[in-house]
Amino acid sequence: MHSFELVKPKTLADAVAALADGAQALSGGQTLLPTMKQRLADPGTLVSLTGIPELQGVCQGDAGIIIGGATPHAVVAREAAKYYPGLAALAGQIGDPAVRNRGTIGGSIANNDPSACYPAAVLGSGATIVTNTREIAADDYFLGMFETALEEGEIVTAVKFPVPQKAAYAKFVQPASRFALVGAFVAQFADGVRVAITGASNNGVFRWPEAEAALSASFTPEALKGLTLPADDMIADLHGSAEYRAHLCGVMTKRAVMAAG
Amino acid sequence: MTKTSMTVNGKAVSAETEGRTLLSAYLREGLGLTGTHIGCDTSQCGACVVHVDGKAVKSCSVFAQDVEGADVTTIEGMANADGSLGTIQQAFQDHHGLQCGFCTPGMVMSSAALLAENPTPTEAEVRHYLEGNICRCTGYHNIVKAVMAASGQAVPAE
Amino acid sequence: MDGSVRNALQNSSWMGRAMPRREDDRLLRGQGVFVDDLQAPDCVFLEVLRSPYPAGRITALDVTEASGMDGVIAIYTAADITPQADSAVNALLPGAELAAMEPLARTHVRAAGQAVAAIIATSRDRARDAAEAIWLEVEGEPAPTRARTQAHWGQTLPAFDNPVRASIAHALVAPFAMEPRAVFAMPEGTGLTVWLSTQTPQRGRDDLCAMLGLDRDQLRVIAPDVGGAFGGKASLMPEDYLTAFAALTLQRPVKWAATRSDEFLAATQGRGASSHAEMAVDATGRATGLRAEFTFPLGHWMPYSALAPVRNAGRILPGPYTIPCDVTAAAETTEGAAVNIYRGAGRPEAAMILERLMDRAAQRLGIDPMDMRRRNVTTRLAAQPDTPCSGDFPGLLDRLEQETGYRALRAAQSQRRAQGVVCGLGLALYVEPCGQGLETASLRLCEDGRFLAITGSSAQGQGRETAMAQIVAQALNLHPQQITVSHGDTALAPEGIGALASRSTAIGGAAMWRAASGLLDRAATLCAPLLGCAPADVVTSAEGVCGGGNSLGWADLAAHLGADPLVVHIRHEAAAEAWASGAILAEVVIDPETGVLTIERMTWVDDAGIVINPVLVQGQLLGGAAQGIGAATMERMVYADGQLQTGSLMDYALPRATDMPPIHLFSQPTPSPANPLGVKGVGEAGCIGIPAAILNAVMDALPQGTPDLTLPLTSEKLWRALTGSLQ
Repeated sequence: MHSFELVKPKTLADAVAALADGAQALSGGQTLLPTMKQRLADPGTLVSLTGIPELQGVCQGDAGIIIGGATPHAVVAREAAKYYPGLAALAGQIGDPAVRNRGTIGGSIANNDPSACYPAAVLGSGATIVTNTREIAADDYFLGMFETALEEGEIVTAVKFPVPQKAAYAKFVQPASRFALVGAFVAQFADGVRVAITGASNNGVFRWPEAEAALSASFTPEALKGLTLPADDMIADLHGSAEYRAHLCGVMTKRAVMAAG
Repeated sequence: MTKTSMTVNGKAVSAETEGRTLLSAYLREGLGLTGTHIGCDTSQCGACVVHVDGKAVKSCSVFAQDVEGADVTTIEGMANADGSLGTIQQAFQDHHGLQCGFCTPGMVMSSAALLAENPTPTEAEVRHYLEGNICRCTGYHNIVKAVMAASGQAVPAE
Repeated sequence: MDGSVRNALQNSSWMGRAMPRREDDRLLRGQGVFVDDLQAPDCVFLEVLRSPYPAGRITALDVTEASGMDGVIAIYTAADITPQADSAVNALLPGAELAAMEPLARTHVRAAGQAVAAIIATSRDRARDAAEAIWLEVEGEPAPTRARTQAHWGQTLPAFDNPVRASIAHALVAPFAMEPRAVFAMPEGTGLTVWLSTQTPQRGRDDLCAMLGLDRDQLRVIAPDVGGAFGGKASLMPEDYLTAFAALTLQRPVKWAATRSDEFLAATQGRGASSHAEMAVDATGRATGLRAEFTFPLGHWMPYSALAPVRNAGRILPGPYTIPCDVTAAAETTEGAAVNIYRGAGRPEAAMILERLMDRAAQRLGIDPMDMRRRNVTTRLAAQPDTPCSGDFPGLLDRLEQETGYRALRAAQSQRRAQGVVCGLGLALYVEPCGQGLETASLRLCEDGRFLAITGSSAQGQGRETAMAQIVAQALNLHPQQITVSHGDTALAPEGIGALASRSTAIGGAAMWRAASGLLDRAATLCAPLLGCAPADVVTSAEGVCGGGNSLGWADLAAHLGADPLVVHIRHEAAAEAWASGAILAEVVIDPETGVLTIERMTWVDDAGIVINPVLVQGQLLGGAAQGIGAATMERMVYADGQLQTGSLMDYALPRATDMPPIHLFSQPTPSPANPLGVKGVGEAGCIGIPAAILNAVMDALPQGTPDLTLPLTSEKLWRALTGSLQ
């Protein structure tokens, strides 16, 4: 990869300052390093975020749980389990154990890979993305494949998750990358059900309103019968046609409902 | 170039690094510990797994400078103090869990991390934990047997 | 099998024993030495600029800026290198057209990924920085077909009346050894020592000598620890020549190691053939004729063994059956990475189409696939070229039936299907010819009383050292620990072939047995007068020789022999080819909602002949099975518009621990008459039989009338087959 300078701030304020000059944030690095090895990214300065205590940790807040932006997936899988098992289970399925020890929630959602798992949990939970400057509702955050509402130099400092009554994630694994070919996150709240699907759409993670309405009326696999998604904007690639992905959206949503109990 | 220090296999070490120096290169070229291997460039194959502060980490996917000061264990640090093979290493030999040996250091390190977290895993848990460790030679069954044996549990028949 | 081997096995101490491997200790400690582990203080690094463009004419190639960059020592383009000969291609078929490598593209790029320039710099990163600064322009032009070869086997048969038909399209696959290719070349005298991650050190030496204009004694090739190969490291590659050339020219050590991206782009691939066949069957289920056509892709140039797959596919039919055959197979260059041997090398392609036809015929006639095979298996084997040396094919089927409870499984199938389970059973009966030709062995009593066994074969994880030590220990009544086994070094074994084609135990082991037997004879002759007995009374053991009431330790004997040591060199030419065989049953279910395939169980009866070490055999079978499962269900290299779509593990799927089904192995050997040990090969069996069984099981599960599916059997393909939406 190209050369660069690595800076390692110990506080959020230092990180924000370092990023103000157009430097690249480095969190877990499990996506950024492979990209840099391919020489597809060429930052002059990398600002490591994983040494900043304020960005770490899983704790219970007033309205749910709060996860520090630089918290590794393995930590979420372990420590969020008692609060929000569906989220913890999703984190525990990302990548593999070694990747989970480094990859972070902030890194994942800042990147917004259309096949990543976390965006489904964040959107499916109606979570709030907290940055160094503001709070962004999940519904306003994901803007398209690899696109988010984050400004240049803005850091995801935490994600606040309301905890649903029931939730589960069903992931159909792309056999090479082990990312989601289609992943469905279903969460039942008092005021209704949210369904967020990743891996399927050219626009990245999306909500499925018809499924949400049906499941809000009856949180059962049968409620989804007959509901389909059009293949039009679905990703078509080596690993699945648009039709197959559209079909799997229905199957995985149903399986998420079954897993949620 | 910067001097980057950490503890590797119990010894304080230091080597020159650039920003782009991966932990794997620090170990292999900086310290001559070539037991950690590079099998891919997309952080998927697991041949490079080491322990950083007790956690399994893909050394090809972290910068040496980013883990300055950490406590690192590599395959070279897995034998017993008297030089005999560690429990997992011995189990791999007993159960023919290696052929060419290239994936083996990563397999041993991942297995050690598993058993530290989950001392008596099921066979399915072993396979699942090794999802990030590719082997092209063995077909995995003997590796799973080795890990089950190392955990003191009955070895699956097939 | 040799009488002496028969005797030895009856008093068996070492051969046939499940011994742990001597290779393991250093590998488990991380003390293996793979080529990229080698370092030298003044070593420089070679990187390759590969064309990002598909086939076309090079209209610009400017290295000026790159040459001036920090740390760059030299940059070579085609004009700068001077190969003294074309790379060699084994002309295995009569009239074969050959297309040698261009180490660096000259006027045209023939495929994306082809090497265009070699950059030598003080570090890899600096070399890659410089590679980015090279200006390359390529104007798209289709690559002209450079080589096409066709051959025919069997007889020309008349048109069949209403035959069963099958077609198979194999995807290209990546051998994907865990260790990427690497070369470390060091100037030595007027020549070089080249450490090469290779299966064939002697061939590498010969090829490099020819291309560099060196004599054989000026170039030493050493294969240190090699991290898997599977055919992908069997033939000389452009980077091997470029690195050696750079070292020779610059007079400094030069190292090249492929990244995984390099390997996907430019390492050799395997498979990719398409086959169409028809089989005429009479009303009783006897196959009366088989006509098959294969077309093999060769990629944009031909490595040494490029024609082996097409030849193997053609010559193996009709496999374990007695059927008149009319086989045509062609191979032609294509736009893509070179296609070479890969575990199985043509045998999988032959086995699969044959086993598909058997199942189609069974289906048409309404008889069980097991019975269909029984009606057609060869029962009388004649030792002729291109026929199995030994084997009990009905016996394999019997054992398989017994171990699986096959008839009960078939009966249970209808019940399961009534409950909506999409399930299938698939059989494969296969044969595996295991190499022809020669191998060398030498055995020496060393000064310290230990033995040094040198094999011309090589090792990439097979446990070669362990097995060879067992053979020598058996022959001389030693303990294996007294024997050091060396391999992979042309200075020690100047002649040899190496490890490929499942030949190393059958041919290399036989050579070592003969060396050990020869040493035993020589020891007896030399020691008889020393001991005061007849040569026939000399007995060897771990301690030394004894006879006539006297004894002499090995070290003492060595001292006595002094400058005329006890050493035997053997150049063994296999009299005939050993043929292994096996029968496999795959049991599968398919999830109708997603098309996901689950292999519930594989049961496998294998005939690998006499087994030296059952642990090593089991390892080879399971490892081959994993690759077979990969090829059948998930592995594929894909090009679109000349660009590789599967350039990393993000897009190339291969099996992980969770993908492996239970595999029940049973050994049912028949000794091979083709070599003194009675052994057969075992390395490729998994790639030959397993995919055929899986395909048959899937087709059994899918609705009747489902057309032939291409490989791999992805979940979408199976879902479409089930929902009637195949594209």
